[in-house]
Amino acid sequence: MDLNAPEVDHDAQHSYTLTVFTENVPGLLSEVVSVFTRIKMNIDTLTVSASRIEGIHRFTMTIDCTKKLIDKITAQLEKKVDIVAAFAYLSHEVVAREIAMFKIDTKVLNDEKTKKELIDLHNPAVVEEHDNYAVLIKSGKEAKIQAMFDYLEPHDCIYEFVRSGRIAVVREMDPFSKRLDSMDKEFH
Amino acid sequence: MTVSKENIRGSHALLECLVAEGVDTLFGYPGGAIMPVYDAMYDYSEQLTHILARHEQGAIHAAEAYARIDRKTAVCIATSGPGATNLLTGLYDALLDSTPLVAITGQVLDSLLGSDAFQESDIIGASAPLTKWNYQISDAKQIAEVMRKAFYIANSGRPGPVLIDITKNAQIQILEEFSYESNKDNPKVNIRSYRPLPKVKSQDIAAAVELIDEAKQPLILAGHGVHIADAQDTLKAFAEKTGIPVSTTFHGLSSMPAGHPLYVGLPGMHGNYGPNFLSNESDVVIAIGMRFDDRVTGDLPRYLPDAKVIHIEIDQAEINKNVPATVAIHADAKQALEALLPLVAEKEYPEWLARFRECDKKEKELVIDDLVSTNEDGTLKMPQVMRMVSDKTEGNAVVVTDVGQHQMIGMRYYDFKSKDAWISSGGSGTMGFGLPAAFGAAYAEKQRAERTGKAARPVIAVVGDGGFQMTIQELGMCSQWEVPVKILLLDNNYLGMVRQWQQLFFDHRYSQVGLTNPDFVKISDGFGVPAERVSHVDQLNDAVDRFLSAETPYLLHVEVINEENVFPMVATGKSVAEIALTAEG
Repeated sequence: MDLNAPEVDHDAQHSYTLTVFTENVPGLLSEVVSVFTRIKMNIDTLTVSASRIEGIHRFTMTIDCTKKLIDKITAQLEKKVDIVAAFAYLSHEVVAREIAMFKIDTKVLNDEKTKKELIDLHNPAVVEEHDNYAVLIKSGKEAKIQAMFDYLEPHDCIYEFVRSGRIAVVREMDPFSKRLDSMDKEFH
Repeated sequence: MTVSKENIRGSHALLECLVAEGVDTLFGYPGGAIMPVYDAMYDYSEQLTHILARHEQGAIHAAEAYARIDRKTAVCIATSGPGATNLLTGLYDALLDSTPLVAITGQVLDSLLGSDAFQESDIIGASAPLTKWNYQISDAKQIAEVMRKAFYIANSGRPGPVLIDITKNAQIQILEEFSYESNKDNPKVNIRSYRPLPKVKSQDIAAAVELIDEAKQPLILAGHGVHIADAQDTLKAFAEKTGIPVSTTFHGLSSMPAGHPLYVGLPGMHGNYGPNFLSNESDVVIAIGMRFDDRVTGDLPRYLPDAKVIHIEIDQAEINKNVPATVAIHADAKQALEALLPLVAEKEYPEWLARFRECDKKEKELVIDDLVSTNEDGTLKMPQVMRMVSDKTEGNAVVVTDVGQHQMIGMRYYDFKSKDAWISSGGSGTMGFGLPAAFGAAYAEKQRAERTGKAARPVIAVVGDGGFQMTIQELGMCSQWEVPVKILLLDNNYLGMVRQWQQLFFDHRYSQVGLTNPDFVKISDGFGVPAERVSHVDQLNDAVDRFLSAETPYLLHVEVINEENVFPMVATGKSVAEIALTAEG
């Protein structure tokens, strides 16, 4: 991503997807989060997992803030000794999805009309079905998950609802490896 | 030389690492969870001198100043729980002021972690935002790798404090094999996520040279990075070739000798008139190893409105943080200046420089002359005392201060001729820093003198009556080690800087700033530190002579007038160009 892209208004609010690559050491989560707590900023979503590279963890976060602030945040993150790189992306620069799980009353699936409507409109995977409850999984953009929730909610059938928070891959080809290469060139 | 040992305890391994890193002095305080390490010290008494502070805060401030004299990583050590938490203020201070430090804390057995065991504290969690890096060793096998990394991180790139917490089981654990390769023997440490030393980019240098050569009214702002990079001589050469006036920040102070024809004093809240008043007229500002702290910039939107800024800075996160850089040179200050030096044109700016001298004249007439003169009734003023000490030491002392009015007076009225001679708590403004820090500086000076055969510079602790009492117990450390710390107590019987703000900005409502002070001479005497008190100008000269010629720690308690204010002043929210020379403006 070109951080100096001229079309971005530095003082306007944008929705950013932040991908942060870190060493896998204890305490790293609080190191990452402390950059935000320090400035009293909410992290909208946060997911952490292993990355493609052994020993490197990947954080995906969504943040609403200005370009000016996100640049400072990425600099502060990268300043931490165990953080390798941090990248901030606007929504068109990533392919982002979320997964949600619904534990619902089986009665919804027993009603043929509702079941058909649910499948036609939202197409969730039914992963378990029991006498009293069923577990559905829905993946997609955040709005699609919200839509399915909004559909089910009036049926008064949701026992549990959990969403993963955004995960995303970036359209740019392997910025992380590029960064590692440029670090080799730019540092002693 | 790689150290190799067999069947060695973790505690001994830890000390082997320190010795291999060239550490010969530890500042600390023992306690339960660090006892195996203190026991091991018994076996290392020839290689390691432990200096017992009277409070862990004293130990870490001493270590900070010790590090800042030679830029050598200092080590402090404390036990778990309160021992460790008492280090936090010092860690914060060292982080803000880029001080290379390794703090070692004991921790309860790893089997007890998380159980609220006696003196267990989550020091890793607590110190994370206050350190450059921290790590908990819970297995002695980690000691070598972690300690090597700790010393590497503390003193590379922008230096800072590292905390290593070591559980008691790791201290007593026996290692069948232990080997350690120090950072001196092999400086290349490969940490994928930490690349401290950027290469100077030739395109950045070229862009900077173009701006510098075309500048009409350029100004250099030299910061702490000049000291850290040992770039004082390069800075001087660069300034002399380009003819550009040099202003040094609070932490840049003493990187250009006072009286140098291009030196124009300090920017910032209580800095000099010229570099504040004129900075907004400069068209090119070359900021070297400084971070545009709010105390320097005044009201940020009105700071350097027309200047192109060349920002030389090793910490990427400081570039474009407060003031946008026209040309950013992400590099070590010395390497950047060395790259610029052969390429810049020889120039002079006599008219521009003359304007700074005009400002100096105005500041001298309206502020300084009065403050260094003698009052008719013989009462004393801080600047008058400071100037006398400056003159009598010919600017060659190391000045260490506490925080407050006396600090600003030390900064303004001591004319530094030698480098690395100003040690003060800047970013964090830690009251209580002065006395223990002066001890650490004096101890480093003493060691340097022994090493080089040159005379140690006198070390003067300039303290106020407020901050002095925050760590006054460290008179014990000074006394025990007979290190000749010269304590200049400027006592106005107030928390003077707070009082000044209450007078100027809170309608003279003095709230909790008056002090009922003890008899400082008696206290000092009780610690075995000779002391005397003066309050009249007739006593001052001889007292300062005795103070400066003392070969032991010595307290000179100077009672100064109560309500003197520090001026000039850029008040909060004001532009630097609105700097006030007097309370009337």
